[in-house]
Amino acid sequence: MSEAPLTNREYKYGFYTDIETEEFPKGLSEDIIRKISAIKEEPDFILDFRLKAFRHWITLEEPQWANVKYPKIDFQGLKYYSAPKKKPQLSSLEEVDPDILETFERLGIPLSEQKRLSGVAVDAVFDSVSIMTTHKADLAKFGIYFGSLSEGVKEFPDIVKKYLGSVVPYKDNFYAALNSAVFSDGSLVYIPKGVRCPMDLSTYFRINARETGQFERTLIIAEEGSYVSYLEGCTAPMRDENQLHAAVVELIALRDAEIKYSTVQNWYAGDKEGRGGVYNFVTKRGLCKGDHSKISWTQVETGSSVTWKYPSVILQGDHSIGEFYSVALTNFKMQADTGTKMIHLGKNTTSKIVSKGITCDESIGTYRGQVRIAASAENARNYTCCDSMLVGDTSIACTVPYIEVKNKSAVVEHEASTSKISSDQIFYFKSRGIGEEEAISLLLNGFCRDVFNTLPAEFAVEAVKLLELKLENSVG
Amino acid sequence: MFEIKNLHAGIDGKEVIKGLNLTVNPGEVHAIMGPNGSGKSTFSKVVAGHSDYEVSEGEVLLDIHFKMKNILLLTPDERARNGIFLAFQYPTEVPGVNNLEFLRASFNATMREQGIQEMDASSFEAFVLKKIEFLGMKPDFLGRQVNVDFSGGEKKRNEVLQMAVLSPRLCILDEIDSGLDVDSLKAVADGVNRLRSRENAFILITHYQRLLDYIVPDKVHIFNDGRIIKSGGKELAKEVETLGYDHLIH
Amino acid sequence: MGQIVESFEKVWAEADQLHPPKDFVRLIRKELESLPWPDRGHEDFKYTNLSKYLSSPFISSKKELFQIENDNAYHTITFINGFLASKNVDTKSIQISENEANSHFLEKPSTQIMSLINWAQGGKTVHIQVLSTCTKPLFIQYIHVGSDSQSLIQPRISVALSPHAKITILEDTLDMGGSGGLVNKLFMATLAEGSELNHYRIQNDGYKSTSNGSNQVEVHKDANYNTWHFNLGALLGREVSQIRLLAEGARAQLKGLYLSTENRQLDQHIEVFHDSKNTYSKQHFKGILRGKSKAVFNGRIYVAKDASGVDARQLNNNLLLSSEAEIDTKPELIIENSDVKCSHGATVGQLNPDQIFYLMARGIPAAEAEEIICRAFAEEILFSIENLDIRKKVTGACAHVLNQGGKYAPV
Repeated sequence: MSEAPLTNREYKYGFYTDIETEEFPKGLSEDIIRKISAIKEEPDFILDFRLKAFRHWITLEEPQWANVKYPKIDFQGLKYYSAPKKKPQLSSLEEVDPDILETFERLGIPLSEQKRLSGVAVDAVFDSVSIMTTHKADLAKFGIYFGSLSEGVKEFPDIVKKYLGSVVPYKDNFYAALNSAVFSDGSLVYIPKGVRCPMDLSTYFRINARETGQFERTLIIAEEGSYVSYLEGCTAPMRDENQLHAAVVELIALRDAEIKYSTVQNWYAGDKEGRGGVYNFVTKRGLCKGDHSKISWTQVETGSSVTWKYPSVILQGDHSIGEFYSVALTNFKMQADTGTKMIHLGKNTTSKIVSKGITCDESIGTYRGQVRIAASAENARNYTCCDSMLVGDTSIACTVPYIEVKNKSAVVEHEASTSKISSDQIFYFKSRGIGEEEAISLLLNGFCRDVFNTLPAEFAVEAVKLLELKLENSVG
Repeated sequence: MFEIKNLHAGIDGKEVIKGLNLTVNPGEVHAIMGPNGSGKSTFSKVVAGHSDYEVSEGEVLLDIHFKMKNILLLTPDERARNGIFLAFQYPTEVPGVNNLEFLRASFNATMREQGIQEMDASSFEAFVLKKIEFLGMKPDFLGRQVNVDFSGGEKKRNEVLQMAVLSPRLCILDEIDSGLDVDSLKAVADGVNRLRSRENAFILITHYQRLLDYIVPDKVHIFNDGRIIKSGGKELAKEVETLGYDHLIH
Repeated sequence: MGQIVESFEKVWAEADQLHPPKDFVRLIRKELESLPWPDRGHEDFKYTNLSKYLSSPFISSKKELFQIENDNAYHTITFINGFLASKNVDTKSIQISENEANSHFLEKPSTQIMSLINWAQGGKTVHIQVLSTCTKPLFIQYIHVGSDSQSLIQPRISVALSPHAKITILEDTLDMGGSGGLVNKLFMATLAEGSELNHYRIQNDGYKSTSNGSNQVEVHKDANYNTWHFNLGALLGREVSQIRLLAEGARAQLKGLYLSTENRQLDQHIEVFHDSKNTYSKQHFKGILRGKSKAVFNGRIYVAKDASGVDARQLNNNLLLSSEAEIDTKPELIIENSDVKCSHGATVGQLNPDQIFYLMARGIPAAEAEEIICRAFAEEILFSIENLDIRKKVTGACAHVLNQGGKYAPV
């Protein structure tokens, strides 16, 4: 590693695994969609959903309102299915391609029985398919399903039919429609009534193949009185051309249920000149369907050349709670337009938004958030705090909050500020014997503390390291 | 003059006051003592008419124009204009509202109720300045916003000033001693003592006996679990001081 | 719907007979032809579909005769139906002229659609040159007479402050007809080095009219622009400000109050451009909403790349007093320099029940308690008006919302 070129130090997950894959030809048509559905042996209602979404998608234009610029994507120039040649979803580890196992091991996600993480169940997704899920049997004892959506739909057809597209309808937006038409795989989580999931569930996404879009779809259903903490991580190889990632995540929390969803997003972000990187166009939304339900999003966004992502909560149940905690770091020529929507419909609903944006080099970071208090939402409360930190003189930080209140009993507070890591601060730390790296880490930790505190412990450590690594090149 | 009969009240569906009886005559000072969470402050809020608290049973009677009337049927401002005064444990800050203007609005509302000519700004200011002098306070109180950036002692003294201006017949002082140093406590107690008369009565709600060294009560009631469990003279407070509440409760 | 220009063709034809249109006016009309309708599809009109207020054809209001009373506390210029009607200015510090156009602003007319519509009428711009400090305030009075739903009233004023000159300007409206129509004011100001403008605007147009006030200000080195906006009248009242801080030491302070009642809507759009380093801005806007009314606050702070040492603050507080009222607020920051202090805050709430209880516990009836607290909310802005005569005028104009029948009367 000491000999590695500079670029490798910037992004240590940038390697590519050379394995045989089964890929569909480039381009998107009804025919391709039927093929995806057939290869996954899907029930008819899924194919039907895909086709409806596709027919809607072709009538749409790409959204232009976000504060990001990128060349027009040639959607017919992409491949919509790519899977390792060996049959996916295996019964035992021996059948998994050893190259893939090694890939995940290099990424810090050991899957083998002896090495795998004890407190976390992991679903490993490689390009379009789920490779394997650890701890499946342990979870099954509680009646919990955690695994690939493709397999899950066979086991729980009624549940998938009931909830798929119920929170993010395929008509929601351009990318959601595209995802609904071509989604490859993703995770299904089902927590039965009254069950507190005994371990964190984690999905690890890896884009490997070239010129392939990744379109996973995650569906999490927490039945009455249940609890689950879900984590996702993502990386991709370094390439000069851009890769498209357009995921959809739907969360449903029924009465008294709680879902905690944490993301550490580290897709390849492109190089200093802005070449390559992942376009991360993701629709994530949770529905607090039942009374006293709670959905909490935490995200640490450090990757992708372009991010367009607004994990949201619809607060439908009375007394439901929505939370959004975000750290978004952009450097080089990255562009991130991210934030949340809190839609208050039920009575006594509460939401909290904490957003920390760090922009470096020539990047642009935008917080875009909406807080909507409907006329029906008596006694709704929202508190929003979004802070930006600019590092260097060439980056741009924007804050665009939308606050819409139609109920007089609402109390909404929004505050935002900007700050910076100055050379004075670093000098001050140094004069007290603290090295530069540690100084930056301390300052960053201070700035992001409110968000990191909401992450599971191992994830928080990982997140801090990730930010430090990214910033090293940007703070002079 | 003031009588509580079998009062049951609570908040959020939970009963806190569980059958309270109390009679107060003009000129008397009653002390209600009790451990934390015994319902003392709920009692004061219920008498003042805070809408968060629900009364499920009982009556709170006040002599209004020589008739005992159930004030539970009145709004908080009607109760105040008929002579009930609650000195808040935590006086509310009202940014932007001038203290003198607030006092005048309050005073004139009571005057209107009684069919007496309202006071204009300048004669009212003179009237308040006299009260301030009487209480030994500083006049700079008047130019400030109601309780905004007041110290704990200043807030409590502001409550006493309001009491002096409004001349209520029944004053309930909710932990007027909390958060005060000895000097502030003396000043507040001194103010209260100056306002005592044969026509008005006081209920002191307190956790500590200390206050009663400065304002000597006629009657002391020990409050626990929403009702009075023991009543006596001022010596009862001393008993609490030496033996603690547990001794009396069990 | 056809094109926007169709709504104004009649007005233009009439105006052209008086003043043949200059090339720039033709150019602006051309630009309007290509503009889409300002409807909800456009970010600036997300909360206000302006199209429906512009879609019927307008006819030009006439210059009417009206008896004007002058107040000696002010230098006064009076517009009747948008046309300069009288000048009562007895100082050499102020020069007033009517120009074909103000070339300075025309080099870069704003892309704001409403200011383009104002320019497109052609005619003359009233130019006010402030040569030196003038202690007596200048009162710009707009009188609308005999308006109806098709009336179009478009005063256009440019003010230039010479270096180190100081002046206070008050704009107010007297609507005698009150039968609606579109009032589309354009106010431009250039503040030369070290000058200071205290600018009070009362938007008090008739309740049936659509009112738009564009306010474009350029602030040069060490100049101070202080403004107070009172957005009170009209069925739809829009106040649109673009403030450019062009050189070091330029400052802008914007305060505002919008009091919306019944089925009305009051919008404020504020853009402050920190184009230079060491420039400062502070915004504080407060709104009270009653009835079925609506209000929009959209404040944007823009800090340019080289603008280090900027201090920019923005605060927006709203009191929502009716269950049918709606507030949409969007405080934006766009920052391209790391060495800045920027912050913004926005709150939406109602009267604090603890405060109401406290006042009631002192004998003050609920309605009066609400009024006292409401007034205190507004007074934070009202009391920042130093000129007591202007403060009295403004407080009077706000009374319809602040006095809801209670007895409270402040000193």
